Amino acid sequence: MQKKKLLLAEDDELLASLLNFRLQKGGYDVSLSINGRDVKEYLTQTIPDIIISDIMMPYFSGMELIDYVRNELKSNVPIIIISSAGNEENVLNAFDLGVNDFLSKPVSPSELLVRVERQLRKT
Amino acid sequence: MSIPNLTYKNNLLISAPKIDTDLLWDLSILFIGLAVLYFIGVFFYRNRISSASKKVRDRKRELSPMISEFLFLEEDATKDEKSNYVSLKIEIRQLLKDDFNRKVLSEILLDLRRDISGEAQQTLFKLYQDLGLHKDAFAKLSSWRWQVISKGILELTQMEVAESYGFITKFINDKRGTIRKQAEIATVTLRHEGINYFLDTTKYKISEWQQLKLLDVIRNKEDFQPPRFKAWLTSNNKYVVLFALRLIKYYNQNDANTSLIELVKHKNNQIKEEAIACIKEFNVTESLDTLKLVFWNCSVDVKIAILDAIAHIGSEADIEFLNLIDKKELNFSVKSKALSSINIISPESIMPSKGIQDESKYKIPNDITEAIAKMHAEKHAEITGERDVEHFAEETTEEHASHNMADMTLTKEEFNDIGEMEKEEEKKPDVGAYLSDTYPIEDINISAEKEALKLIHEIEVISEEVILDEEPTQYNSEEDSWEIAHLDFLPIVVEEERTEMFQEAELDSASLSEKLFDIPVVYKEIKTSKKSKLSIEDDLGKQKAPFLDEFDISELAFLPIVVDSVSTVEDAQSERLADKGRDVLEIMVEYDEVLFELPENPEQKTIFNQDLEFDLEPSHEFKSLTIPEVYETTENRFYDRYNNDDIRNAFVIYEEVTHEKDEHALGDIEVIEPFVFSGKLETENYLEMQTRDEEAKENEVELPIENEQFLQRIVDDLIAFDSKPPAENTQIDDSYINPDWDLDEDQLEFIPVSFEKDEELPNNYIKIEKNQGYRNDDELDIPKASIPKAIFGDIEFEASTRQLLNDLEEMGDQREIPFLKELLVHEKYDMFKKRINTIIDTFNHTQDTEKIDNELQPFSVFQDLFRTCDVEAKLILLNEVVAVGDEKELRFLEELTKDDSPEIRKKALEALKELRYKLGRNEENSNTQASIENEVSQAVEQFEQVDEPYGNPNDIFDLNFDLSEDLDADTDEKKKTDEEQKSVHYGSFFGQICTFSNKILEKLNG
Repeated sequence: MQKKKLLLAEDDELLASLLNFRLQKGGYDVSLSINGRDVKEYLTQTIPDIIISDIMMPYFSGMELIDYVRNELKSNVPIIIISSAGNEENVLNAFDLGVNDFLSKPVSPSELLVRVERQLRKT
Repeated sequence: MSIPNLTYKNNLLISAPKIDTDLLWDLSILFIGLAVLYFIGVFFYRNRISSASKKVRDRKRELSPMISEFLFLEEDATKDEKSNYVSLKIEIRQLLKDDFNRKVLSEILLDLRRDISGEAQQTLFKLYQDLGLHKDAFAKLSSWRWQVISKGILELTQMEVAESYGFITKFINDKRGTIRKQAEIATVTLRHEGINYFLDTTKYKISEWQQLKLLDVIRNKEDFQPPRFKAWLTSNNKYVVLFALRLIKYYNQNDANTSLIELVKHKNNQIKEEAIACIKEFNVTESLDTLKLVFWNCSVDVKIAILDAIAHIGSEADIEFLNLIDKKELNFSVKSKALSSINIISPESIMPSKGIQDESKYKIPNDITEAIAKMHAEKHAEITGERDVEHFAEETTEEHASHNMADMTLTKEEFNDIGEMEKEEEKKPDVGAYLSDTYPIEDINISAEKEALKLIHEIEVISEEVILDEEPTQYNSEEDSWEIAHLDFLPIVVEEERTEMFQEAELDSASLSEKLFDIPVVYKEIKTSKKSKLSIEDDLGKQKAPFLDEFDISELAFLPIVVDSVSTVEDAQSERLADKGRDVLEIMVEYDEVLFELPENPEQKTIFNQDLEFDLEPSHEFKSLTIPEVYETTENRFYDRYNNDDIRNAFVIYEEVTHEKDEHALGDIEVIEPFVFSGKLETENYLEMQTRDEEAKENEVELPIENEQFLQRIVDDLIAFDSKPPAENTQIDDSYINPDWDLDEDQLEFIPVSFEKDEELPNNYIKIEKNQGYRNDDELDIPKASIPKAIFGDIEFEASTRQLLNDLEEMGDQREIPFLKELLVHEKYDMFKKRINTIIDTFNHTQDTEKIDNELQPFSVFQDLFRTCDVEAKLILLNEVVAVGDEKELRFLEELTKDDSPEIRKKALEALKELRYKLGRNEENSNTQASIENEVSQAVEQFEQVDEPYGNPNDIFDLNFDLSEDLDADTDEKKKTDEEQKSVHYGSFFGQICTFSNKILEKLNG
């Protein structure tokens, strides 16, 4: 069976590496980006099956990413955002923009995997 | 007048000192040089820092995947993954020898600790300790620099190293504030009882911020049971008392009232305030006297706090005290708070007095008074129709002026009239009373009925659920006014605009009736407890009010439907009775098409257990019919019910034929292809099978083993047996049949057949159990036959075996002997057995059997790893061998018990014991073990003098690394000595010859 494509946008390299490992182990084809510019470039070439993005990212924030995907690319690809605790306002704005789910840091990798699976099941 | 020429004469009072230009140049060069040095220094250090950070970053990138591997290793990982994990552990163990790597690893784990949660976080904590990084943190605790100690405490706290609790608590009373605070938080974090220890032992001030942080820590602790904090209300440290009071309030521990009352008398105002806050929170009314007592000697803030508490827990008896405060107290805030408290205890008892002006100062302007009076007069004139507006206005204006209030009054007559009217109308209930409340009914020039209808038309209906507990009041026809009480169940109505009612002229009854239906009614279901809808209607019909004569009762359809709970049931019954008369065929039925499935027992799959979409029902048909009849019946029925297309399109679901592990189960007969019942052809086949052997109706037969034809017949019988009804099968007797035994044994040589024998029966007998009958009439069942499984020879298999043996003979050597032995065990043919034995004998001639066996031992994955490891890594690996190893590792461990290194020998011995125990092989090789033990005992004893107990064998990082390094040093020395000895030994020609064979063996072993 073909692996689902997953775009992971996280500027914290350590966390990104950890989540990347876990998601790959979970059976996903993970593309990792540590800044928003790369994410945008990647999205112009291909649309993954699901996007996981941190809200705070250099060059191109998670909010901009959601806006870009929903309004410019007109894509309904599921987006899960990762935000720091106490960033509820951003999370609410993200939901307004059309994000599908969110996780608050510290992130449980297993929980992330479950949420990804749930979102993919919905689609 | 001549203007003198003004000239400025520069008298240089201050002149520049004469400095030698060379000196200036020197100074300039010096400063430039210093500046350059400074910039070079900055540049150098900056580069150094950035290169260091880059190095750290790069190393983090290298190490983070390893950490991920460690964090997400699953228990059900494959052996390769575990092997990879072990390699990774060895690798990381090597890396840990470098301080820089240790530092980077610590940073990685601390960073990740902040970013991840859940199970991964717990694994991270464990990994931190497994890697021994906590030892670095412990080392920091012994530093003389406060920042290092603080960092060490922080690390241990964040990574939840519970063992550090004892070390950290020593810093609780450290004179350096940063360390102390860090230690306080660590103490509270690491153990549940940490808060107790902290409150017991701390001697220093606990700042507000620190209190908040500590509260945050204990608030977020899982399963934290707060102690009774009243125990610390007696502490000598006032900050402990204060913190305890706050914790008492936070955790609502209201069992310390007496202590709280006592603390109100505390000399410290903060403690007083906190105690008062607790008193207020827990409503400690018995503290009122104490509060009053201490009040006069307290500070303003405490006084306000006391008053606030009295306001909440006090009663009217305390108002006197509060009034006293109002009189005696000088401080404005306290006085205000006292008055405020009085008003809280007894609302509105103290009214605002200051700045309140006399009412005479407030006058309404005349023009406004007149306008209001005129408006009221007009309104009144509309009511009476005869009043002199001007006169009325004048009167009202005067009255307004006299009262200074904009209130409308009526003349005396009017007042009397209205008073009388009101008196009369007060007697009328509900709507009538409501109507007469303001307007005299006799003055209104419309009939009562019309008025009522008009009102109904004009009103806005506010619906309410009305439950009638009593019967509606009977209408009294003798009275002048109509009685409307019996309409209690009606919604309460509210008049919207009364004046409009009078503006409209008389309305004809017809239009009124029509308008009744236009009234917007928001209604709810009204339930009555005693009276049904019909009975109410009956009542209404019998006791119509006068105005109701003009319209039918059905016109009250706008009224809410009154549902009676009792009558509802009755109605339902009556409806059911009525339904009886209906034609059943007219009833609309929603149905699903149900396909009939061939009866089957889902647990026992037979060739008939195909899911067919048509109804064959063989069990019914075959019970009482002969085979031709069955055929005919089946065919006819089959084709009667289904046309050819249906049959062709019949959908057959194949199911794998599975059977219980009954040796004698009939189902052991393999059905290579599913029995496809998709058309006439299959039906005929089936019936042919049915008729193939009619004699095989007995349940038990006695068979000679080697008869091919008979075996074939058995198989046919069994296939046919499935389709037979139980009636016939039950006729089979219990005797054994001994059929003819015609075939020569030679003829059967190449018909390989294996049987599963029943131990209770003679060798040549195969038991078929008596049929137990069907489970029910609709099911076909498999007879419980106990027929051994017959395995027929496969020509292709024979050919391949023959070819394999040929190949082995040609190309094989002694290494194939185990395989050949295995083949020999499983081989059935004597011919092949002989051949295999021949080949084994051939190979045995070429090599010593024992040596071959040794070389052909299963390969252990750890052997490869051992070749490249140092002693320390080998020790780690030995633990891992126990954890993941199996039988293959036994021999490897035995070899290791002869290793040069005593610690490896000891460890290998331990690992061997544990692995054997694990594999249940304790009893095996006891002699070997004893010899091995003797062999290494001396080395072990020597080793144990410096050895420390090892931890969990599964945990390879529980080793004492410092010790290992010492051991390494020892080992290195020993190796060096051995090598020197060897070199001396190898130096001689004889020695070289002696060691030549060893060298060859070493090369062979890699």
